[in-house]
Amino acid sequence: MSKRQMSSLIFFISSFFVAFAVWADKEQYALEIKDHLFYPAEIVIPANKKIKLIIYNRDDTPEEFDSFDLNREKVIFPHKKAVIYIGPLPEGRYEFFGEYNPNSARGALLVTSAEKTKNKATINIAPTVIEAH
Amino acid sequence: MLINTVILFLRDAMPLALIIAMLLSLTIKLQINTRWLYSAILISLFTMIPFISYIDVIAQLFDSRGLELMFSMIYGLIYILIIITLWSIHFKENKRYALYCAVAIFVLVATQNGANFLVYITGYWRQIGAVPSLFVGVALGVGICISIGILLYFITVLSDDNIYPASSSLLLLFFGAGQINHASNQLLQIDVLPESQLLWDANFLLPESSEIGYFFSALFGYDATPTLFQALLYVGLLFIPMAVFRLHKGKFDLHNIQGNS
Repeated sequence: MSKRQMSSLIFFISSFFVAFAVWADKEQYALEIKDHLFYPAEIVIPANKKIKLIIYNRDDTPEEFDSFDLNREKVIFPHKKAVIYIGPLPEGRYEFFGEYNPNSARGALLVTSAEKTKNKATINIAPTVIEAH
Repeated sequence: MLINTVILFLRDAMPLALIIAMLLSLTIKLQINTRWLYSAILISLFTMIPFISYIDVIAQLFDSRGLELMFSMIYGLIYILIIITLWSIHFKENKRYALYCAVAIFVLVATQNGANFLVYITGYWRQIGAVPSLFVGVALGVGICISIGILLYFITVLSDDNIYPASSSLLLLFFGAGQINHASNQLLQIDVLPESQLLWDANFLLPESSEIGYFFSALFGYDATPTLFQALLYVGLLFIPMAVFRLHKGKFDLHNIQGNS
């Protein structure tokens, strides 16, 4: 392999890692689907920040996370996880639902200022924040 | 479950019904035999089987971003094939390229949307009492899609003949730009494209969740809340080919095409 090819390869591999590092550098929140319900049904996230939402499907059937408010749509296969990125969003309530079970699987993201998020997170949803960089 | 099945079927089958109507109106105008559709359906069935078998594996690739990346590529490929179709008609005046592209476009649209719906069907058909609802829902959905497809076909043919000769080409280009909008939504979702400020929120005017919203989304990629990047991309990918076609041909229509079939 020539020097030029080697440096191109190194550049390509390092770009890949940088891209993944940028992907990883987000506050992470977790959501579970069980018996066609979202747990927790409400998640509080900070305003004007991009977050990574990991959705675990514990059911034996697939589910589709859907939200017209968030402009997001993602199929989560049985006993698998899915990852989506959300935000940065202004303060407000953003509803989501399970497209395959829209009557039962419903939830919302409550986007609030960082101060309020901190307070709410300690009371209600601390377990959902699984990792923060 | 019945209503949900109808809604999901319409969401996934509508793009297929629309693309069949558009491609048929274009190929019939080019005097291409409609037998291409049967071959395309057959190929789609063969491509759908491996896709549906491995869809959950694909979904888990690249830290659960595999499906979005794959769908984005398919959307991009559909746009490119639509451009090649129009280019082959307007520049090369070659029916053969248009025919191959029509088959490829159909196969891609059918495989992607079919796989989406099959995930739902195969996931729920084992549930007690689900089968009758699924069957009736699919039957109703098929009826609605066929009606809309036939309506669009005749509107396009009528418009080509009486209003604007390039209606079918233009509609196909809008459909292609819509595919790119869908691709950008997929890439935004997995953080490959940077999220920027929303340009506007047209949900108060035409909600994306409404029936017409679904229809427009399938037809030309209607998005009630686009970002600046998405809007620029859409306009660029719509108007640049139109400008190129106009510059080279003087007019964007299908008149006087001899073709080499």
